[in-house]
Amino acid sequence: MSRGTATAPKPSRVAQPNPPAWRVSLALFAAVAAATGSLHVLFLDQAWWLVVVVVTALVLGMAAVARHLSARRWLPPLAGAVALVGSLTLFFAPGAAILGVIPSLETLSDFATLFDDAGTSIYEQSVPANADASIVFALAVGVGALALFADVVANTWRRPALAGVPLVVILAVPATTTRDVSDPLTFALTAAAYLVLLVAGQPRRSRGLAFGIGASAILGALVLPLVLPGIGATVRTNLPGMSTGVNPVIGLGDDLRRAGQTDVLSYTTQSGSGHYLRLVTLEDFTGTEWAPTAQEVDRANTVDDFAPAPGLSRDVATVGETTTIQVGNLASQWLPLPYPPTRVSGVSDDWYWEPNGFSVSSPDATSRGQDYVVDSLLVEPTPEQLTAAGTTLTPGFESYLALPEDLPAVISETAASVASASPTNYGKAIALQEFFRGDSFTYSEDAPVDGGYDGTGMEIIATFLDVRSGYCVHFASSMAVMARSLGIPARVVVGFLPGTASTTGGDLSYSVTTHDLHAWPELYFDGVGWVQFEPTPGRGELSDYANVAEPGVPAPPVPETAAPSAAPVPTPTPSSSGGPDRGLDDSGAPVTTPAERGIPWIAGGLILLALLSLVPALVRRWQRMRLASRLATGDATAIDVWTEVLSSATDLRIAVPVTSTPRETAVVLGAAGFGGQGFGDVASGATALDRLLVAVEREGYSRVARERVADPRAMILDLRSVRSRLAAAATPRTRAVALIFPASLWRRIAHPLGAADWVHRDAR
Amino acid sequence: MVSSIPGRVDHDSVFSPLDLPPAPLTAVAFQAMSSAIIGSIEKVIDGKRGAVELALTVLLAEGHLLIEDVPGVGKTMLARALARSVDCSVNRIQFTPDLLPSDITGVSIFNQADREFEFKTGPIFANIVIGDEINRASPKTQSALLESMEERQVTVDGITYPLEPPFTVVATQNPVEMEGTYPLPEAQRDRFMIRISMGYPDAAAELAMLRQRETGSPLNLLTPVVDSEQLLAMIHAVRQVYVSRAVEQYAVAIAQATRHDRDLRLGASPRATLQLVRAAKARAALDGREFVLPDDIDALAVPVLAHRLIPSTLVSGGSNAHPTSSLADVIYRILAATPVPLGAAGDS
Repeated sequence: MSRGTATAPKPSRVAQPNPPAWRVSLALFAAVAAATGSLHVLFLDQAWWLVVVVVTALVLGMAAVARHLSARRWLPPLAGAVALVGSLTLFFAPGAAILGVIPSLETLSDFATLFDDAGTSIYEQSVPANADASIVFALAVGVGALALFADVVANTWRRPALAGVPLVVILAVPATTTRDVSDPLTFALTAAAYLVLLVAGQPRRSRGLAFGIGASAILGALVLPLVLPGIGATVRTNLPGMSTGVNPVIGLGDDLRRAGQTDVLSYTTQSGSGHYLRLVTLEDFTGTEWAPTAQEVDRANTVDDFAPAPGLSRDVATVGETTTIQVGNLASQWLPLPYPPTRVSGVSDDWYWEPNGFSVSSPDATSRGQDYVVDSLLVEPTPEQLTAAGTTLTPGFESYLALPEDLPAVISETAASVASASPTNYGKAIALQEFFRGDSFTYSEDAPVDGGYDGTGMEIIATFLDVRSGYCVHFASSMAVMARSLGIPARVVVGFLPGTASTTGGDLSYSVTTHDLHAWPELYFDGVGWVQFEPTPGRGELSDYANVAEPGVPAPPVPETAAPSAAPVPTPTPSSSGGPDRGLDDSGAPVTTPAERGIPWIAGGLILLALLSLVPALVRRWQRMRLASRLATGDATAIDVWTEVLSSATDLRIAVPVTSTPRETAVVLGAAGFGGQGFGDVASGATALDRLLVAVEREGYSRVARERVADPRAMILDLRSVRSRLAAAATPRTRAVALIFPASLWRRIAHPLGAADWVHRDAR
Repeated sequence: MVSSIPGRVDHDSVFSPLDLPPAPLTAVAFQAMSSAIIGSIEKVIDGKRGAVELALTVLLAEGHLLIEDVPGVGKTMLARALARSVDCSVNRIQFTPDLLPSDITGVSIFNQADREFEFKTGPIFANIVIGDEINRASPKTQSALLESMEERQVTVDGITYPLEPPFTVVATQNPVEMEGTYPLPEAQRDRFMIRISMGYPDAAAELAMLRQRETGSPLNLLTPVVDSEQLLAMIHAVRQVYVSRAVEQYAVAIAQATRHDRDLRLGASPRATLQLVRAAKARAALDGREFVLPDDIDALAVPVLAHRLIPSTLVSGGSNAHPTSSLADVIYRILAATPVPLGAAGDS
């Protein structure tokens, strides 16, 4: 053996064989393909994936071929870029191209058009979207470019670990465009491919580290989907009726503000028109909030037979309506129903109605996955009937006038000034509605949150009346409170707008999403019963009875309707523009700006980045914990502790060259962290650094072999002491860099070659 | 003095006492003796601690020392002070151009009375041999000395006479540029474990020297601080110093690097590697360690290797370039480029 060492070549850092580039490329391809797969949650069908993967394969393949043929560093990226442009031309705009793959000027304009279309398509579609050609094009461009970048990082720069960045970018897309983050499977697949990439891209010595990083990546893959909401998870957070005792209004705004919308239910109606679907009635105004009346469930009130609607007289025209509802991912304790229901059939589990508002709840079931048929009445009061109700207060309805004594004066004063001109309750109600729908109020889901007045309390209403910007909750609660102040019984209802009409197979059906969540006031008229109004500008539909302008009150703009003009009142009709969309003001322009839309995206990305930036620090910490335990069991020696000292120094950007002896290194560290005093009389063990140096020299060069450290705890304490001294001497900036970007994870630290390795290498 | 030393040499095996080792020296005793020797030498050589330690290193590592410098800087003084501090046989040979090989090795003389040849030993038969101005002798005489240095024996008229350990030659020479010298060939320089240059003393040391010399030769003040038995025990202790595989690899890596370096025409020989490690063991022992560190190799690389290397013309440069410092630079560069292995012991 000694003869072998005598002829051995000098160990050298450059002598480490570089791993074959094609293996890295292959692993990279797998990782990109898996990461791209995570986007499937955004799309209805998955054919686009094949196209994107083929483009990626061409890009990485051409780069690999170029790398194989030539040593020039700039050639593979160029070849990859050519492959990207060529494949895009071939797949998306072959018509004007030369030979189908060489782009002409016309091809470029085709590309520009595709990009524009993609932007429009992404903006218009909800998730999951239909992956049309323009979207596939945008995906191919993005993923292809990221793959090219990853190839440069992993193969040209030889930093395979950093290739994780473009992968994370791809993985972050579903997490930031919709509340449904990628499903754990593709995340884990990507992490596994990344692990393979790290292993394939590392010199042999560093593979343990690669496994470490990869393992933590997989760990992250398992943890992240727990932290973030997952695909397929029921939409239940913040939704009304999540549980009893929680005010259903709370969180309604959060659902509206959420960037992505999720389908919650769909329904068809016999008449073909869409309806407001009620979830729960809020009857108690405490001054701080609107809340449902707490009532015991009466088990006699089964849903196969409802009581007659309160206050509805025979004089008012009614038409029977049948609505078939399929609830999807909506776990509410209340069933979404049109008003007033007369019979519900087909629901599973036991559901009971509540006599005042006809909210239907179940003690032990949720609405999720329910598929049922509702018989209800379409009540068609005429303005004359409503006017005839005058100012009569029906006995028994006094509780619907209750207001706190300390109600801010501005509310009742505003109500009086708006509506006192009208002699009847109906006229006052119309006046209030027009007041809110007029030009002075704007719809905004964000302004109340930003302004700190989100909610339904009376102080909030007062602020709202001053700021005049808010969303349905504010309009509904304000109108209800003001109506009460004018002597009209009023309550607030939480439910859904009619949703978006679509025609499939000749049948008109409506789909309702989280963005259709809504709140509106119901006012009581003697002889007619509860009648809904729509004070929120740009949202919902005005019923005929509510759309009659009082004399002297200018008629509000009527949303154009696509439904038959004979659509029965008071039910709303679907609009041709695809139903009520979020954030449209009277002019139909989006109230939320694109910048506002981007905020959740950016915030999500930042959170993801923050989490990811902690991974290296966790890996380093894990390394040290492992070292301590291995030291205690005798699996690690003083050399491993010394290596950790060197790693820590490397993290802190203290140069510890591989050609330094431990003693020389100690001098450097002593100068850096011990004011030059650390390396004095080594044998005295004066400082922690001295003690570690004595230990590593003894273990590394003396006769003892793999000596079990006598006092591992003391040695770990010495290690800590050295680390803290070094860190204390560094600038705060260096310390931060050391934490987030520990160089020892990807830089070879000193003493890469144990004696055994050196001989072993030579023998091969 | 003898009674204070725990180990005793077995006098029955005069041929090779080291085969039967003395009782091991304690580290404390070793340190005490080495400090005594260094302290003694420093009484007459001021401000040359490095050179003194290197001289002792050679003595303990059973090598030979070449002291090279201009006349009058204390080369001979160092050699004699070293010899005087150890109570053992010392001979001094002044090399001159007319010196014959037999003047060194000795001659066989026919004894008329006994009617047989009788070997009259030359000055080489001593524990420490001081060869003054070795480069003034003819090559033939030089080679007689160098052969006995390497072989540790003298052959005259077909009869081999071993040289008793400890045996160390301390040769001095003037730089080859001086007049009337026969420069030592490379092959013979290789026989010296370490070459040191005295260098001029600094002002303070020179001043101290002036005052000291007023009373006569300071050498007369020196008395031996260790005897030959103690010296043998120290040499034995040095032999016991452990050299890990990692350190061996480091030494080999450095030697290999000198052979491939473009600034060097001739690299280090395997003998150089061997002597580097041996010297490192002595240095480790002097430092109170029972194992060699890479730092020992680093510290000794220039003294052990520099006189064996031949620079390519690029490095030696013009006639004004000092080859030693250039070679030292090359060696420092090699040291700075050679990774230091750190590994568990015992893997063979």
